[in-house]
Amino acid sequence: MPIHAAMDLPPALLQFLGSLVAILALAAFARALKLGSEPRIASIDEARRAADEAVSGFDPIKIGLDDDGRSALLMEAEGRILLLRPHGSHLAGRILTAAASARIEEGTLIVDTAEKRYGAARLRLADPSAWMQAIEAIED
Amino acid sequence: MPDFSPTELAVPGFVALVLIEMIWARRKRREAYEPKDTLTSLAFGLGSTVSGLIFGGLFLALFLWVWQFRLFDVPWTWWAFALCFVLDDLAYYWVHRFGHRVRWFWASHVNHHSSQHYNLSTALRQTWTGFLTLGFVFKLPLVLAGFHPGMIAICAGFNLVYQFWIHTEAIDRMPRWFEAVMNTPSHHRVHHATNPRYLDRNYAGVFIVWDKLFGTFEAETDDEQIRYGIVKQLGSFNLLWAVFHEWIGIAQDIRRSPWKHKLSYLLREPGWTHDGSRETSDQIREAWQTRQGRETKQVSSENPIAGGPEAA
Repeated sequence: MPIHAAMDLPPALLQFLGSLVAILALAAFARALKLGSEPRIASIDEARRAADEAVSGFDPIKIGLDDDGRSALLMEAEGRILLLRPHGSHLAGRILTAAASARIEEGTLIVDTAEKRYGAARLRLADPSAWMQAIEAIED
Repeated sequence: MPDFSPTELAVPGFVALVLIEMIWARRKRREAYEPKDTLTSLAFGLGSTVSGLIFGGLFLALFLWVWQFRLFDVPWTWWAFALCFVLDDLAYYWVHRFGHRVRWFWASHVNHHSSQHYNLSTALRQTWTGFLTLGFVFKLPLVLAGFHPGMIAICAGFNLVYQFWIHTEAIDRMPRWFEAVMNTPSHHRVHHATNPRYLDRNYAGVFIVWDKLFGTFEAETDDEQIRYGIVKQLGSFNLLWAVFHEWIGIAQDIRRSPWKHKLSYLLREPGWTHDGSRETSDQIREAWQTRQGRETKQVSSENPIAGGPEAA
């Protein structure tokens, strides 16, 4: 934008545009510094701990850990199933509801929470069909 | 009325400190920042200034109108500023406490807590919808006491500037005397934590003494790693969803609930439901304490050295 055109803009708009450029530059700087990391669930114990962090008191009797440690499914004795998947550098969990669905594609279990913004997760884990059946059996 | 905004003047300092903290993160803890989260937080900050520009004038006009009915004429002197700053911080404590305990207010304040990170960019994650709550009511006693709305605005600006630097994990503890009186990174980390022991604690803005006075203080413990964010993490970087998700949640709950419970979804604490399908922070803490007690009991019965109830 030519300087004379910028000077014609109202000060508030100019300030807004300047701030917008500044925040984009800061986010780009964070990216350039390679900040952030992908969370990994390295073990069953870590999955258990992460589940308790996501839903305080969640007490799984069965844990399905993704081969890459990116995600996990955990089931309580009463049938509640918790999905853990990465969100930025952290994990975000959801208790699956009856609206959730699951399917298997080439050995990978795809769990759709039916929550638009949270979305779906792909897990390569042992016994995916048992998990699929458990998810399909969830009742509200 | 002086045309002076401490927050506007502080913006270059905010940017510089965020840059410095990013460099610290690069060297010490890369996971302290996440570019998408940072962009969301900063976009929140930008949007909140736009919202403030649009609606701030309305509140100033309201305050000036109320000021006509003041009880005293408080002069523009240094001691009046000091007194106004302390009383404004007390008002902030209560606005903030209501912001956590009444879902209507929480719908706006949740924006500030919705990041799973705790860094200086989180400080700028400010709400766009504060004007939809009644937070300003808590400042009216100051106006009626005779403090000029301009003076209150300046004090509130300095209060906000103070709160910027405490949003960091780069500082462990401040000197003991400072921790005793002032809000610090340590105290405020507790406030942003989702660990059951820390939920709804440390509402202070500048002076932590308010929490100690009103029974909401919790010290940070080194034994437990803090997790930040909200009880049900967003799981999305969608800015508009992050801004409005709780308002949408309230609308959905009101629509689905029986008539006699509708208002409770607005006025009761976050997490409250008429059918008990979700948990409030008090319920989460209580359940956690029960589990802790059970675990302690198990340890003490298995190991006499771990201790047990003492005889009177």
